[in-house]
Formats: sequence, C-alpha cells, structure tokens
Amino acid sequence: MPDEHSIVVRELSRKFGDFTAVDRISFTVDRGEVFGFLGANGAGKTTAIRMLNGILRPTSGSATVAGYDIAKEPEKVRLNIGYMSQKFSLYEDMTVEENLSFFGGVYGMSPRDAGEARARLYDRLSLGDIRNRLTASLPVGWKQRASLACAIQHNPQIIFLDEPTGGVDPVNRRAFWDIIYELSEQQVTIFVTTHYMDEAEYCGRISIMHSGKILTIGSPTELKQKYGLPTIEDIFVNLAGGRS
Amino acid sequence: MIRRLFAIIHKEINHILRDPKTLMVLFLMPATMVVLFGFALNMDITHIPVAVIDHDNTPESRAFIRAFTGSKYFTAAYRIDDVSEVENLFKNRSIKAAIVIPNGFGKDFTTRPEVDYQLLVDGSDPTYGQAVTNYASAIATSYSLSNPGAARLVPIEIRDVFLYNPDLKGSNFITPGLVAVILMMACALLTSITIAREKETGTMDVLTVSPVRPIEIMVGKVIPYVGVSLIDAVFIIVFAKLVFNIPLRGDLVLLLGLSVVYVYCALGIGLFISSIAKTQQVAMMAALVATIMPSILLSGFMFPIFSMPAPIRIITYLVPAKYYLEIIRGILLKSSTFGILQNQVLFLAILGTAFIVIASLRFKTRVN
Repeated sequence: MPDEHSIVVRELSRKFGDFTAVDRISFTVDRGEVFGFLGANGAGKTTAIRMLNGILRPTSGSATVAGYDIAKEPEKVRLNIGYMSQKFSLYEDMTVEENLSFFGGVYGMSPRDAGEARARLYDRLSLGDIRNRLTASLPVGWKQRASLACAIQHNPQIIFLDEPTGGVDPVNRRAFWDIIYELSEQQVTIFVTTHYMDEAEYCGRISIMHSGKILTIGSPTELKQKYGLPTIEDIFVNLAGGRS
Repeated sequence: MIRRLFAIIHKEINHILRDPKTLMVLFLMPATMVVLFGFALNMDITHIPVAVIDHDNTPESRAFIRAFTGSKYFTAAYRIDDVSEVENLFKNRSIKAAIVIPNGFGKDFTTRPEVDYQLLVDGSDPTYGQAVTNYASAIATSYSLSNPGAARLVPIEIRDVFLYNPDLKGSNFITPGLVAVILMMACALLTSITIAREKETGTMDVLTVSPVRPIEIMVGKVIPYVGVSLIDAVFIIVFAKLVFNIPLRGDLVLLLGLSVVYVYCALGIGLFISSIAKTQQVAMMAALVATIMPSILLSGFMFPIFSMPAPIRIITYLVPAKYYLEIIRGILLKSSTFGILQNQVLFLAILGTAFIVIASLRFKTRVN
C-alpha cells in the first residue's frame, strides 16, 4: 500500500435512482492527517462516508481506504477502520469494560489482546475509575471517551468520527481533541465530519461539500487566505449557502 | 467468525438478564395468561339457569323435570305458568333456557312410543347454546332409557368413549394450546425489539461499520433466546400442571426437543419483523398482532381448522402454532412419538429458516 496516503478517492459517485448524492468526488488523505469533511445536511457527506466505510457500493469511481479497495474488499476496509458517531453508540445496560470487551470480540481480537488493549486505553483515556460503571449513568464527556475507546481499541489505521463532540462541553471537547492529536502523531489518520465550524479549525485540512460535489479543499489557513474571509464559518456560508 | 458470534451472544445474554421487562414478558405474562385463559375459557358449563313451565303437572312430568334440575348442569331459576313470560326472562338474562312440558306429557309417557317436550334456548351465544342443547338431549335420552314406558321405541344406544381426554376437560385441551400461543408471542416479541432497539440507540450503525456480518448478528441474537424460551416453555408447562393439573403423558424430552424447532420459527418471525420495523414500539405492536391473532384464531387453538372455509384453511399452513399444537397436544395427551410428528417438525423448520433468511436478506439490502 502507498505509505503516505490513507485514503485515496477517485471520481467517486453514488446515485439513488435519478438523484446523484455524491458526484465524482476526488481527494486524498495522508497518513496521520486530521481531515475535516464538512458540508451542510443533505450535501452527500453521509453517503460518501458510507461508501468509504465499505457499507455502500459506489455507482462509479473508486476509492481505497487503508490500502483496500472499498468495492472489492469491504470486509478488510471495515476491519481496519474505527468508527464513532455523535450518538456515542454504547450499550447503556452494559459497563464500560463490557462494551469494550464486546467490540474487541466484534473485531475478532483474542481475549488476551483485548485485555491488553483495554488496560492501555484505561490508562491513556483515564477510564480506569469508571470501567465498571454502566454507561447509561455516565456524563456525556465520559460517554464520548468510552465511545472513542471502543472505536480505537483494535488499533485501526483510520478513525472516522461522525460529529464526535455534539453536546459536549468546551472543556471535554478540548480534552477530546488532545487525544485526537495524540493519535494523529502516532500516524493514525483521523477523518472527521462536523458542522461545528470551530471544530473545523482543529483540522489539518478540510473539504467543503455541497450538492454532492467537493467545492474546495485545503488547510484552514489556506482557505481563509484564498477566500479572504476571517473564519471557516464565513467560507462555509459563502460556498454552501450562496449556491443552494 | 466464532469470536464475533460469541461476542454477540454474550452481549445479548447481558441484555436479557439486565432488562426487567424481558423477565416480565418471560414469566409474569405467561403466568397471567395461563390463569386467565384457563379459567375463562372453561368450556365445562354448569348450573345453567332455566325456567320451567309445566303445563302437565303429573308425577311423570315432575320426575322428568327433576332429571334436569337434579343434575349439576341445570338449575331451576323460575317456575312459571305462562310461556309469554319467558321472553322477558331471556331478555333480562335471568335464564339461558326454558323447559316446556306440554299438557298430556304424563299420559303420553306411559302410553305412546314418542313423547315431546320443548326446550327454548338463548341462541345469542351459539357456543353456549349448543352446549345447553347437548346437555339437555343427553339428560332426556338417559331419562327415557332408564324409565321405559309402554311400548316405547328405545333408540339405539350409543355408548361414547372419549379417548385421551375422557372427562373432556377443557383445560387439558386449552393449556397445551396456551403454551403454543405464549411461546410464540414471547419469542417474537423479545427478538423483534432487540434489533429495533439497536437501530434506535445507534449501536446498529456501529455494528454495520464493523466486520460483523448480518447473519452473525441474526444467529448471535437467536441462540440466547432459544435457551431463554426453552426455560420459558418448561415454566409454562409446569405452571399449567400445578394450576390445572394437565396430564403430562408422552416423552417430555421429545416435547422439549421439538419445542426448540418451534421456538426457532418464532424467533425467525421476530427477526423478520424487526428487519422491517424502525422503532421498538412498532416492532412490539407488529409482533403482537402477527403472532397472537393467527396463533389463537388460525391454529386450531380455539376453532377447529377442518371447519374453516378452504382459503383460510390454506392460510393456516403458514401458522407455526398450528404445527406446534399438533405436536404438544399429541405428546401430552396421546403420547405421540417423533415418527408421527415428523411432518410438523419439517414444516416448522422450513418456515423458521425462511423467516431468518428473509430477515438477513432484508437487513443486507437495507445496508446497501
């Protein structure tokens, strides 16, 4: 696999009947990069991500994720990515440890490997004290962390974060991003979707999607210079709002 | 594959044990239903209130009436002289039947080969009315046989012997049927909400992005529920034995073994429903309607299938409870063996597999 690119997308399209949800998008994401995938609701983000996760077949075009073709080897793709959504999809009637152990099994980890991975995560995400608590009883910030732990314990090369900080207070949000940066330093690729524009500022590069197309792509600083606007939010409103 | 499956099974067991609602569906609901149905569906009617109108008033007519009112089936609620009063008694539901003895009954009884009396029955509830007629004709026949008058035609005597349920106890027939209805309902209800719940909470999204295959989710969910449902089946049968003293003839291990096939089928229906329903509420309603109604109405539980019109009779072939009723009544009442029941088992296995395959296909296409 090409070492520098984690995700390579070429002319990827998806149609639902006459409707083109994703229209020939192309981009690459480097290994260890924090990539922000922005777009308004209905812009085609979700469809694009589902294709990249290997759960939706593209109509045309191609993409490799973690070195595997999404259409030909979707199982391998899924085995090598982690996924965390805004809903913090934990089983609320189970403890943090039971959730982790379940997802360890789902990713085919041996009980021993999973146990070691858990021990490291407890340490790294300071989850040790709450590991035996039911996740239903946890504050949102902790749920988010436990959710992240479930998404990364099988050491994925890429982590997909779907609006990961919805409903989380600024302190926890900052703490969360510190962990994300740490992962990025360890060459884990981070693919974030969000419509929190301040969150977009945390990303190394961002793309803005509208009506199935990627309108622009670049680092937050580059984009601000290019459009002569002070914030990402202004750029977003200008691009996505102006054309709808 | 094995690790993934094991992880899902383990998780489902956690869900089952930690949700008090599950335990209620499994134990409280069946116990309540057995008691309610068992008592309410008691077909053995006694103490039917009747009005007696004796126009004859001879020793013969009085003895004939005593044959009725002396039995446990009839109670003389009213003795009246005028037939026109009967209608009011029927209307205000004071009586269910009236016995009218015509003038000359006593004389005819000793001299003629045929004697008439009239029985008026409230037909607004046909089942009840039919039972009243049957009891009355049984009493009249037996009375005329034991009191031969002059030159009377003695009808050919039928000595009925009811095999397998000699007392014709309703509960012997009903309770095994209840096991079929309750098992179907509990299994389908529980499994149908498990997937809908994962859709609601969003955990299903994470599972679809994981390497787990749809069939692994299905099988992983079915296995723990098969175990739980079997415990439930034993519970219902033992409970019914304790409350209604139903007979437990036949091979109980065989019954349990064949119950697995039925439960498999019920779980398949549950999974099929949850592959369509998006919320737990919808799943629950659909499961109740799709299982209770056919299991009670079209399975032979209450209404004999052979008396249904042909199109409906064909539909009953798709009702799993029909086959299980034949199995459980066969084993408990007639000591049937596997050889006799193998067709029923085959049908259940085919139905169950069909439901599970359709459910996982639906699950897959939704993902794509």
